Amino acid sequence: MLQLNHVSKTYHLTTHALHQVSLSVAPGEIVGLLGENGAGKTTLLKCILGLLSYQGSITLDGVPIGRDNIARLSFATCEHSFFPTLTPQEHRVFYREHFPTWRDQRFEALMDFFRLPGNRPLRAMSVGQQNQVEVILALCQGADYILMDEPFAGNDVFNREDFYKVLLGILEPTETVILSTHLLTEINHFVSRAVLLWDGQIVGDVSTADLDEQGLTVLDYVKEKYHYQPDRVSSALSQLSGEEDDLCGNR
Amino acid sequence: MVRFDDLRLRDGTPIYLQIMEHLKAGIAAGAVQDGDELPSRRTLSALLGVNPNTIQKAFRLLEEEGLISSRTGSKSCVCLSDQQTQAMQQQLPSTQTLEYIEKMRAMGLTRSQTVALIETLWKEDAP
Amino acid sequence: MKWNRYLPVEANPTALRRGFVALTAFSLVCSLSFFNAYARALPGIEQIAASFPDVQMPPFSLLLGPSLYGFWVSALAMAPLAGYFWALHTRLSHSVYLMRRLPNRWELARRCLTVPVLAALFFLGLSLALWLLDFAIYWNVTPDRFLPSSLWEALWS
Repeated sequence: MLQLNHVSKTYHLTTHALHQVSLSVAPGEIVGLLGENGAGKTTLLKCILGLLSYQGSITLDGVPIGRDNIARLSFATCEHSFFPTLTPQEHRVFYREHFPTWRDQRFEALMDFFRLPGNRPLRAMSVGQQNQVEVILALCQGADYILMDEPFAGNDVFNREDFYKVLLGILEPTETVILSTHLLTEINHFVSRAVLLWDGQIVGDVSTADLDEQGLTVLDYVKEKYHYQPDRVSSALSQLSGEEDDLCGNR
Repeated sequence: MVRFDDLRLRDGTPIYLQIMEHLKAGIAAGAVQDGDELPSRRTLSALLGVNPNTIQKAFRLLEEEGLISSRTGSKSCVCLSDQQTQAMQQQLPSTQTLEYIEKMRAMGLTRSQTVALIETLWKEDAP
Repeated sequence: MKWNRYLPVEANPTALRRGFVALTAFSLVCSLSFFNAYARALPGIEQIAASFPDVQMPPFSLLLGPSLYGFWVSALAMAPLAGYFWALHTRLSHSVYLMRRLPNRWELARRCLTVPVLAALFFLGLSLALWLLDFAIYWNVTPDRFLPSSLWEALWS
């Protein structure tokens, strides 16, 4: 179980990239992390991975994320975390050396299926192919929690559709995916849960099964939340400042 | 093996219902027989691009309705008695027709107008 | 080559090797300035001693001059090299995201710092060796009457 408790991230003392985010992700879930640019999706994923400092706690089965369990998390990002001068096969060697849980068969199968050249340096590949290799590496690390930050920026829709289907076919029940994306329509059936971030806070968290029951799509849900959001926040804030004033005895 | 390749998912209706309808339609049409195997949940999930939980829900409800049986570790299969097949063959057209009647009513057509419409159009499309 | 484990994955070992050889050669060439200065000072002082018997050899530090600077510059150049190694992970690509997720917490530091630190130590060590060699020559080759009586005084003049 991945547990986030009151996670906050502040830049320059005033910019709240994340504010009191609390979240639990159970094994086997496919979570869509949604929100517009700047909502805090990337920041949240990087905090989980320990790539950014933060206040609050993030634990994996009760244990804080550290060197002993970091291998249980993997990461695929649109910024690309691979070595551009290396080939996919060379990456395979590197990953195999550093991650004992590396899934070699899956790597071969996926490289094969997407017809990716194993012996060409990554910088010589198209952006779409690079994205695919980035995601494949994250899938084959052998992690329990696979975090993906807009991994398909630059891939055509057929490519993405193929990937969602392949993922659904190969993921084991113990493997969990957290996918940050703004492609709300196409992930509709793929994810089991939608978590909506707005201005660094979670403003929505719903299972797609519930949405399905109500005949709503993820897009409908997000639109609904965004529509009501400004009022909720401003009224909550005025409530909060009222409380503080009472405590201070001023005004 | 029950085929799901031709199932096109549409918006507005829960996916699990669409999956169940597809199976029932197959039964009614005679394409699905007693004992036919269903694809595994994972295969179907990948084929349709749908989360395994949804597949699980559909299978569970189908099992509750007594149309399929699942054994842990192996694939589910259709288990139909003749009565069930017959019932399905009648039930599905009935459900569809009732829906159609509602739609026609909503558009303000009377019974005789609807029947006349069917008469005219059916003849045109007769093979 | 096993050096690859101690360099960033995307570093070019050949270019680095060439650079290292170039810096060493540059430093050694600079160090010749002591030998040059000494070779001119020694015969000169014999001549002057004929007229001025109390004359002393020029101070060691003066003869040394800039001859060790090459080594120091090379050692200092290792700092931007470490910076370059870091930049390979953050500018050329974002492989820093991968490196910082490895179960081996020292992998990134090892690859960025090992070579710069060892090379800096090498250059400083070589400068120390040459400093000692130069002084050994100064102290032992120069006739005693031209040198201060204490070795310590001669060393730090």
